[in-house]
Amino acid sequence: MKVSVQKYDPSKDDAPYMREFEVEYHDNMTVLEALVQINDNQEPLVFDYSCRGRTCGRCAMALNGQACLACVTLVSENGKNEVTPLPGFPIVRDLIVDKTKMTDRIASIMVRQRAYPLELEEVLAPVDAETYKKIDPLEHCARCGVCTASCPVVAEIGMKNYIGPAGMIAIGLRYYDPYDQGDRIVEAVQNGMYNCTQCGTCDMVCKALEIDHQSLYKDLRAAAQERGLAPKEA
Amino acid sequence: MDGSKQGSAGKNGLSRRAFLEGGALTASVMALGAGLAGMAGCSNGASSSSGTTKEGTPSAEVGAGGSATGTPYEVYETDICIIGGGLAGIQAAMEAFDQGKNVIIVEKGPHGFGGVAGYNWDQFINFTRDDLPWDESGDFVLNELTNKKIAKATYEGWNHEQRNLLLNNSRLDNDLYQRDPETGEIQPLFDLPTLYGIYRGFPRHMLDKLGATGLKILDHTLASDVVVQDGTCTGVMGIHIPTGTFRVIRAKSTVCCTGASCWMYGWNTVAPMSINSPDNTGDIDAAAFRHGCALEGSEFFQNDLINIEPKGIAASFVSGIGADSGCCEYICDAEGNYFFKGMDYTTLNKITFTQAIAKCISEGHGTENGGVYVDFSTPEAFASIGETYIRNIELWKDVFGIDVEGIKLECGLEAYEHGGNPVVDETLMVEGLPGLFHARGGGYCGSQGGSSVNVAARNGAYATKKAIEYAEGVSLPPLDNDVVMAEYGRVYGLFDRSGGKRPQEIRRAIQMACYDACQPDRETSRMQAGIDELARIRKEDMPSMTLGDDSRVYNTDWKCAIENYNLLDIAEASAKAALFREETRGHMFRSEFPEQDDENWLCNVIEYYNDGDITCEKKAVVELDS
Repeated sequence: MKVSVQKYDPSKDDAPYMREFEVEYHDNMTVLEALVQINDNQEPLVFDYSCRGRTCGRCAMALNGQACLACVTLVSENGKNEVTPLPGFPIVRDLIVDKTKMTDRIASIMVRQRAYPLELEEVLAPVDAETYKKIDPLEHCARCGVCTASCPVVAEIGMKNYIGPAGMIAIGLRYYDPYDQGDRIVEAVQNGMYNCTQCGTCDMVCKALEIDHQSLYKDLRAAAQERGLAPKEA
Repeated sequence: MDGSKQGSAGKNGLSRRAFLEGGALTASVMALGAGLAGMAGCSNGASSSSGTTKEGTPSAEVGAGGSATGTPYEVYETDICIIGGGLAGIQAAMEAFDQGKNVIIVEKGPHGFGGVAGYNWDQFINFTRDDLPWDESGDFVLNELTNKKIAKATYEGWNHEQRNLLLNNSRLDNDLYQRDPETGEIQPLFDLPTLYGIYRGFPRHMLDKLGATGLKILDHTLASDVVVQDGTCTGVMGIHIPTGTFRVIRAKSTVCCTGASCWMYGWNTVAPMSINSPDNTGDIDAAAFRHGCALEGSEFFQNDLINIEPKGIAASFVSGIGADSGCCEYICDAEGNYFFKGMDYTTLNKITFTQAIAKCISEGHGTENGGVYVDFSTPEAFASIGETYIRNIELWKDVFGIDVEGIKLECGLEAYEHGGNPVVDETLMVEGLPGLFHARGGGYCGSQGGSSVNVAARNGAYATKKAIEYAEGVSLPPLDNDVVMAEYGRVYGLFDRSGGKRPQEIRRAIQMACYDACQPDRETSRMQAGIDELARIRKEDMPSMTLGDDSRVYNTDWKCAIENYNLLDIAEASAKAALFREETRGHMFRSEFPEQDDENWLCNVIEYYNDGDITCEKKAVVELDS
């Protein structure tokens, strides 16, 4: 099986280049397995991974131009396997990109806004069941960046103008969070919610299969509408 | 970092002259020359700031020692250095933050994504609902080999409210925990006076909260050694992986919060037979070991049963399908015998679960890949799949086209924790190395060890409390440049090798040999072969280990090579201790010694390192009155 991989060492190379490798295929072979095999047996290849199960997000990259998680994406025994870094982020080395422009923003959104610390009685009290059912799937966002790298709106207008699906998940999680006291609807609008075209690409590529991005977007828009925060033309 | 050009000497001209003046250089490093010129950001300490480090906290003074000597490394100073931003490290950092201390956190991975805490996983948390004395609590493992002084001190280090992780983690921004989807009522798995346990504790929320404290986090930084001056630990040294810059973090006290070293436990295609992270290579345990500190508990691992196929997600907790003692009725051997049936289930715990499976495999009834089957062919069996694995059922269908319902799934025993750790006193200070404290969820001499999330948390906070008390009584000595340059020479000297095996090849050999000696079905000749192989690797492979990559920028060959020294030392200590303990106890079954032998082995085993020679000794269990 042939696998080609983009390599680039910014301290040495003028530009990224592709290298092709012959890989011994086995059933259900993942992109990550192919990369480890090449790195172990052929030549150094720089990539990162940790959990092997779509929760840490560290192996986000692209296969045949499509952003994916290498740990849970299969290679094709007889087809094209072109592995490149996660699109839209600066390359550190080979398949490693710097995602902090996304992950740092998400981390700061995720910090709960509250006037006073939670007490145990609040934690133990029942919550609205519908709210729980909306939050629970969002907890599984790995912040891998596959959705954001695949988002056509982010590609066109940049994360400055639309934070991208992973950022919206963070805003939505704290919007639903009954313990959070911040104004997350303003935050959603500030972060470009209305630039999202609701095309559904994020739902197609996300491996946290329980997440339904579209219904989150609908809820956030409805709340913004109610607050009078929808743009005039929307 | 922004991917900009790396590689020219820094503003100060990396000053090869200054480097050579550093002294304590080996000949091999002096020959490095070219390598040095390639080192990025050889500043005199002004942190070569990159987008991946958190800058600008008032807590950390930067650049003291380096600027005085013009040496080619960064120097940071602080009160408390915490190594590892995981389950223990988060609480360690929050304790120091609460006390207003200056803190630097050193993290090998990207902050928020490192180690097992960096998996965004559905974590089970547990604590004691009622305020019980330490020896009546069901929230941790207390058994015949546990160090009772440590168990008592760390349990009592937090009060009842602090031990309540439901509250503690909620205050660190964790969300709702598991609820009844119809009523919204909180839904613990256990709600007993001695034990409360519940799912949905996602640790990444706590890492976000930690980031928001403004404490200085040096991530992507591989700690390769502790700084030891006059027999005292005064910080840590290592490599900033994206740039290859050498970093020295000076601290009055240092708290090691790294996870265990399970990355040594075998190899499938992308991971060992362990749910742990590639970050778990025992770096600081090994550093302390080489500085003369003893290790203990290394012969013990803790196991769970989990899928072997598909290979790419073998032993992955967060995508795999596993079985615990709740599924034992559905576990069968290669011939279809359901060997748990008829067992007295009152004796069933994690240890007897592992021992029964290891015995089955030892007696020749294991599957082709050395496992057993979990038979999900009945609805009852399928319904017994644990909470953690349920979301993976759809993933298997989506990615691999495998429907777990109705199949016999081949599973093996993965090591979710290693029992080994440096010997510590009841303040969690490493014996023989004042200034270095140690906190982890597993270990501390139990034959079941860990790991448990709540123990990691309270040990992290407790060790830091003690580290702060210690720091208040000491002042940092001037930086001994010879100490720094010796370690600098060791790690940069790795570029000056040729003709040997690449670190990845040696890594696989270490992992396979370690597995032969340490997996639960322990048979003496196979264990001895593993030990012999580790000795051969040490003698033949390591001295000529050769990097396939000469770049200073994110060089994973280099990282692998540095870690290999740590993995090899811990693997050999563990393998020798495993062979030394001639009985069956904990998560293993020794066919030649099938019984627990309290007469001879009601003791801990400790290991010493002496210039590459590792020896084992018995050590009495620490009781309250000892």
